[in-house]
Amino acid sequence: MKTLKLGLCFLFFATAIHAQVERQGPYFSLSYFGILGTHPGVKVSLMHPIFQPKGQADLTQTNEALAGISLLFYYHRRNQIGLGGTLELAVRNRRAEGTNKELALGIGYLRTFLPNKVYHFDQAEPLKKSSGQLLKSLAIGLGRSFHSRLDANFWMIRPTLLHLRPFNRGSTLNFALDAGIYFP
Amino acid sequence: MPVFTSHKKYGWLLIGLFSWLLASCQRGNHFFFVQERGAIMPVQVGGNKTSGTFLLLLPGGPAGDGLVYQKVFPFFREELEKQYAVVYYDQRGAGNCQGSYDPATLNLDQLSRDLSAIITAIQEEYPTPRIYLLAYSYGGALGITHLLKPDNRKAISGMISIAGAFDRKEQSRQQVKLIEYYLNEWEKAGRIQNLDLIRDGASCEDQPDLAACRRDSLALRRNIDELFGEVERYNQFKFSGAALSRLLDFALFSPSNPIFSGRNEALHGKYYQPEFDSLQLSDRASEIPTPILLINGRWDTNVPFFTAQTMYDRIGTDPTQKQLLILEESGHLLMLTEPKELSRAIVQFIEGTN
Repeated sequence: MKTLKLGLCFLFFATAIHAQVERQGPYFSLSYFGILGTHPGVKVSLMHPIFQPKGQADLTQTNEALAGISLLFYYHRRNQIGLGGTLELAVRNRRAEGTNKELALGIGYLRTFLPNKVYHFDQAEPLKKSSGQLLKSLAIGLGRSFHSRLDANFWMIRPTLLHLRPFNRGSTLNFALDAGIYFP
Repeated sequence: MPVFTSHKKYGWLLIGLFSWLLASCQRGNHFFFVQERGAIMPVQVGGNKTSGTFLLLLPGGPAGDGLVYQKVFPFFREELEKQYAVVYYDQRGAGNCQGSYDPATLNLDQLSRDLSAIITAIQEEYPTPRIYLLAYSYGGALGITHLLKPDNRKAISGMISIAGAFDRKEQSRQQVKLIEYYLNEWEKAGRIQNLDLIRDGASCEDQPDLAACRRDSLALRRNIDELFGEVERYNQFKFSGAALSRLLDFALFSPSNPIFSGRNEALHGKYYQPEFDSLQLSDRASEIPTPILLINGRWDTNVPFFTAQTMYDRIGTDPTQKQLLILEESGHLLMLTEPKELSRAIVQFIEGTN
């Protein structure tokens, strides 16, 4: 009897761990993506778990590496409209009590457009209303789950540093506040 | 599969936030871009556009922001824009100028060509504008450079120079002269005594009472330090709550991105600086007949008021069309220290030349 109880307990925990560690589904997220926090934009992402270290997961937390794609749009009025896509790699820690942490790196392409009329008097020079840039990003995320379960939806705020090249004659940095809801 | 159903309220919250941010952006200003030789310069026209008078702000620098002035210095919105239209723009290599351009174009001659393009755009947007150059510090060098070409003068009704830096080559010599001037003025006003104690070649060893001499000279130095501390305060940007709020407003709710501005200044200031440091524009000022108002702060240690005096003496403008005003309670930031006096002088000058 004692052996049966121990066996059932083991089976229960093993199933729970298996369910957490080997979750195969992607995360979909929808975020507010504000340049400097206040110039609004949206970002949608689809991230897929690619690696979960064995032996590190337990009932209370899980670590995973994810890879995915994000599409972003922002509107900085009278400055530029941005439309881009990035490939992202992230490591994420989720705790059953609700805390979520993430570190993400991305690389992609950003197309920026001028949102107003452009005067252009030198006809020998082509009018340039948009330009393309290589976009690199680094984000640190912190958030909470809506329920105390590892598979619950959660929100996360990710201050994101963007590196853009070319910018005028070199490169520049930009900042975006990414605040989104994640649906496992 | 993703689960969307249980958090609709958060979706609405996001949509609400998005809409609020869109609505909070600055409105009321006319905005466009001007593309010239690879640079795409943002131009913002604020204030009373029906007046027909346009003050075209040439910002300080080199590679300093132009759009920032409207937000950070209340003088522009609260004093000038009530009466006239004010045109703010970010020059190539500065602020939120976009595009891609050759570093060889980062000089005053090209800035003057850019200015011509901006003036043409204003002329296309508004019927028969009366355009005044409103030049601050480094902008003074650009204004004078622009007016040295006769063709450029046709579109300009006058120039207002606020702490214009025309003769940067002379700056060090003029700063030494300024220190001498301050010391003599303080001595005349009785604020310091025994100035001879610290003059070159002075020594307490020659004095009958060595200890008293040393004590007096130390006291004099302390006194002078305090007086120069007062001078410094005229030249410092004061970070009050209101100033911080205006800076935040600029950083978060304006067309500009301060990260881009900082990056532009770091990337491009070095291209402008050698040319700026070698300027001696007052030598050629006699060629310029344009009406001009020269304003300087008495306590400006960056651009000593002698610069404005020299330009006033040498410019070719008819004496009835040129004015020199030294503000007694100001340093380099006259827009912050004496906005009313500054505004009054500008309005009088413009009405006098109309």
